[in-house]
Amino acid sequence: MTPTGAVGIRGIAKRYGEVTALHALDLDIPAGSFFSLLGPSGCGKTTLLKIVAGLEVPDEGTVAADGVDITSRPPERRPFNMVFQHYALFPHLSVADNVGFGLTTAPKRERPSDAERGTRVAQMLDLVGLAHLGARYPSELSGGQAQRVAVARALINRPSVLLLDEPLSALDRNVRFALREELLRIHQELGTTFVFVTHDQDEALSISQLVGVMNEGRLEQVADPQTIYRSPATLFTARFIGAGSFFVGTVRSVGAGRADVEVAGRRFSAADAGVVVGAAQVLLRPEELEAVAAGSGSLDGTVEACSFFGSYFELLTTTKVGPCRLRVREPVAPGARLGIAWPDRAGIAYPGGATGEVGAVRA
Amino acid sequence: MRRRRWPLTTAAVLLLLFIYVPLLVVVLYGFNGGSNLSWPPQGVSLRWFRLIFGDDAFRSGLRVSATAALATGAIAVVVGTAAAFAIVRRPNRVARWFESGSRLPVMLPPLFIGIALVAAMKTFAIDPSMLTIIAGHVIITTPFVILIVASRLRNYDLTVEQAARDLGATPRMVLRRITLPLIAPAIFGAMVIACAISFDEVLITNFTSGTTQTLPLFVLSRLRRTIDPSVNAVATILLLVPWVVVGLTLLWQRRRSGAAAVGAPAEELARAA
Repeated sequence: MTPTGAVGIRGIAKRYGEVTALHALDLDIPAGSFFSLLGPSGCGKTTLLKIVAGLEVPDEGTVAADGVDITSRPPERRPFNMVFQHYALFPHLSVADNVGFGLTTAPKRERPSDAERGTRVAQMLDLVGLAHLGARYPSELSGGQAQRVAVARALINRPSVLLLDEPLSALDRNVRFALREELLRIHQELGTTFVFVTHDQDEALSISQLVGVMNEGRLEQVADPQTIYRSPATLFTARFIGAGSFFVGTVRSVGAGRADVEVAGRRFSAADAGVVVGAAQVLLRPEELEAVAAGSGSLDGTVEACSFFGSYFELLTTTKVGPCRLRVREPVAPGARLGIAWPDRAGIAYPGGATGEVGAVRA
Repeated sequence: MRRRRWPLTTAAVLLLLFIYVPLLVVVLYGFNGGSNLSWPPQGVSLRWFRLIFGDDAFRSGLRVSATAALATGAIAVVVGTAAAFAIVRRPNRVARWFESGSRLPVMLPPLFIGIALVAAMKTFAIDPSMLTIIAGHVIITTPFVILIVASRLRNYDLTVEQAARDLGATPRMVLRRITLPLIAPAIFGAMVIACAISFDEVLITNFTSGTTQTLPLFVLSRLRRTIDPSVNAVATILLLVPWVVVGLTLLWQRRRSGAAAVGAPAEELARAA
């Protein structure tokens, strides 16, 4: 049997008055995949998820489930279920009644018996590891438990697609990590398509099979996490995913997917992300850079700050071509001079010659 | 430097005494054994309660007031809740206009409402009766119900309704199984307040009741002649009935919603004001 749960989005557009939240967006989410929609807040990712769920109505475009157009169906008639950011549990119902709610909404004749409902609620609570909490009320649960209940509640109707709207963002770091792994396990166990909305790049890259990066109502790139990290297709994706240093450089020649670039007098071969001969922005990842003795690298820098990240220290340095981040094993005192070196094949060249900027610090 | 607290404390104590001592005196004399109102009361007895419960006019007044209060509560809560839904869930220009309009009776002098009702009854040749009493009470209590229920609806997480829709519930199911149970304490609290207002309303009732006598009107007619000690017993009943009802309601709400009294009417009123 081929897996079900493919979502096809064609030309979906949404406007709120003057503001355009989504620009005629196309996206195919393969059946059974763990798909993340990643982007900064306000990029339209939650709007897109709500349109898929049927909780928002698009101005244009269609949504299809396994090839069937469901654009005009209300949420209660879509084979999708949703996990909300702030759980949205029913406060007046017990945990078991919350989880079982989806089994009580069908027309009377098609409704499962009380006995069957009991069994399935128990199965679902078991799946999320809360078998002992069925009699509690939502106000008596921790955040992590509440979100597990929300997951169980959304899965009880055996949806072909589970939609998750930033389900971990309201939780503490440790709970977030535990629940992240649990979601992965549940995904593997059930084979349901997961569409996971997040603004946390680490979260998206660590659990998804496919990531769609969104910016201002448009999809910047859809690819597997490694491709997203190693070859971000656009400058936005490059800036949004992980830390890196952007240098203004000059492209000397382009060919065969590589660009011959010059940064601070050093010529090397960078991956080509659509540049032409002339000014360009070159991204160098911290792991491509090496700290060497001052004067012996391609570039000299002065250490501005040294932050501890557990397995490494991250140095923020200033150089003559702009700020630069690199990773070292031992701490370096601010004010120290050092050299920065990189291999002959390194970095990615993006069109544009604006001032150099440093990517966001990875939390 | 330590700030002196005694001026504020003294003021607060004086204010509380000013409010509660007269109430206490009335209740004390309600249980007075003697037959004149001189201090101190002479012994404890239920003679005044026996006296008034033996009085047909009192019993009839109590019955009329209770009927009017219950009917007013029921009508005001249905009309007010429906109006609150319309105002909060369909926030267009008409709704805003309607909301301001619905607050007007709270600000109108009851005397004016009473005179207006008399004029209206004359114009349409309606005789005073229980129905006109209830109509007058519904006019002044519905704004409170709208205020309380609309405030609850505004302070309410809409995503639980989306979650219910997402889980297969039709809009009607959402209303019956999610929205109404969640706002039930506010609706019930609003109804209790409407009943309490109706129970001791006297100004408007004076114009709409004709020969029917409510309990407050009975008290007034008694006081018009002499200061009768039995009035203290009636006042005690008028005081305790709403207090007991509101107290029981708060207890029920607290038990129902765990530690916090979600949507306690007083809280809603404070928020709405």
